[in-house]
Amino acid sequence: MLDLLPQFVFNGLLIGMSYALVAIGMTMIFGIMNIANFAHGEFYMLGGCITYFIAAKLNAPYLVAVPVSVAVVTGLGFLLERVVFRQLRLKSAMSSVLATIGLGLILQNGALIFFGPQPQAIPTSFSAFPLQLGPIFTTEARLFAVAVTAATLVLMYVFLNHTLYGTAMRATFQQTEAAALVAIPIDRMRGITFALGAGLAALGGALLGAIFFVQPAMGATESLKAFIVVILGGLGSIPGSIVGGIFLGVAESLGTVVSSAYKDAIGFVLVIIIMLYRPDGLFKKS
Amino acid sequence: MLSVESLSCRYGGVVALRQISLTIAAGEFVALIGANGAGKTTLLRAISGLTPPYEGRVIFNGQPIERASCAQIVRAGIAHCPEERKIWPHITVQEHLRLGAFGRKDTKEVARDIDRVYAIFPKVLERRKQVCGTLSGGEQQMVAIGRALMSRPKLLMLDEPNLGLAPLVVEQVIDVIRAIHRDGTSILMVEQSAALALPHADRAFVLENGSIAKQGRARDLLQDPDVKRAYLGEEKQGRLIQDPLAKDPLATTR
Ligand SMILES: Nc1ncnc2c1ncn2[C@@H]1O[C@H](COP(=O)(O)OP(=O)(O)O)[C@@H](O)[C@H]1O
Ligand SMILES: [Mg+2]
Repeated sequence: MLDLLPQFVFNGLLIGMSYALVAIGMTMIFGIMNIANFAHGEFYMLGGCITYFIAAKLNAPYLVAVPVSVAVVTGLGFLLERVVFRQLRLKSAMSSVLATIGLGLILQNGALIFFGPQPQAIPTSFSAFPLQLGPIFTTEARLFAVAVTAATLVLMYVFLNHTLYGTAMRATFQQTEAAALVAIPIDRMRGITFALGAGLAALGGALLGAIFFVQPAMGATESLKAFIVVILGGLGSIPGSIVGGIFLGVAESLGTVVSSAYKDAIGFVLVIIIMLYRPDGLFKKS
Repeated sequence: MLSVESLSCRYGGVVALRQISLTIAAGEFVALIGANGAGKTTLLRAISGLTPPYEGRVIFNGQPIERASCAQIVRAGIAHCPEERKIWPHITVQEHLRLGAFGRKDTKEVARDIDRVYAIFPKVLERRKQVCGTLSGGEQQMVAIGRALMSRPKLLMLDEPNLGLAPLVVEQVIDVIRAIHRDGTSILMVEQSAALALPHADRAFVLENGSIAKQGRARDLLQDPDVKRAYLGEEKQGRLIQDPLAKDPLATTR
């Protein structure tokens, strides 16, 4: 049993890092735009489905399909912010939240029409042959997903903390009016945040889609998972959503040891416990 | 330099400012006093573009700015150091100053200006790598003023910079504001307490219920019985520990 532990932790890490990709975007959108984006998981779904479409239907290599699909979803996010959320900004916050629910339905059902309901496997050139790394069995696709996600998280960290533009984005996130008063272009920051958040989620879908299956229904669960992660990480904390994502992934993976049927319930149980005992999230120093 | 003409502001149906007109000349130190809810903050927000006015005009150096964005107004030369400081809690002191110059293109000059701000606020230099949420209220106020200075404003607007600060720190903040003024920046300072603002100002306005109730030379207003009763009264409530007039009688005749 215990010798399987590294394997479960590794599997959890893989899933958890993809949760983090989705949750970072949700956190940033929540922080800068004040919107709880119920459609966010749909960007994850679109990332997977579009990658499938490009790789399976247009016969492009997977390594081309991933960046193209991420770019398409990023562009879609940018457009949606312009066309939908910028118009709603001066209305009540509730109208934006309702808009995200409607948007989620449109994206999910649009994908259903376009891609059909069946789970599909994204074709890749990765060998399906298992690799052994010490005590862990894995595959090329999984290693690729872990490496790309880790690199992306590091890049995001460097961008947000060590560039002027990223720092301005964090400032907008922490105190929007003060950011406006130093000539930070708030509207552009919102657009970039929404686009970036959509793109990160799409990357998660494109990477995990090559390991599991893709289907239009997969976005809704992902939205819920991202909410759990955002709450675990302490509402509005970007490092919190990274650690929270990995934490949830590993917790779920270890939970499958007990019962794989209850895997998805673990997150909700964790949230209830955390809300009771650490309402500011796992990682807020009190 | 700045001229506000018949400016009105509303929040939904609530009128916060009614037909305000005022001017500020280059190099002037103007105080704006009034009770809580009088509309002082709204006036600064209207000038800096945070709350676009319902009607009226704001002219800065000949340009109408009442419909301009915050960014355009900052670049035109108006800095707004907002109420309650509004520092970014997880961002370092140094980054606050760098971001203060976000609208500027002259990157080389920016580094020099950061050093200049540290020269004005030596205490925050020691904390330059610290995130601002960990600073004391007085230090946060210094950072907020420093951040506003980084846009190289011609007019610096300060909204109750002394709110919640210890008397000794209030003195330091006032000294800094006077030094900034002496270096040629026009000042528009909002205060609830006449005793804090008027001794340092050239001219002053008294705002009541969204309208200008009184205006004139600051030292005249200080002697005005209505102003004394309404806006020097805080001394009795212990808000003001000392009378700045007694300490510095020459302040208004600079
Ligand atoms: N965001 C807002 N929404 C609605 N009413 C507001 C808002 N901000 C201020 N007000 C109202 O406008 C009036 C002026 O407020 P304010 O400018 O903040 O006054 P002051 O700064 O002098 O205390 C007050 O009656 C206040 O209740
Ligand atoms: Mg106020």
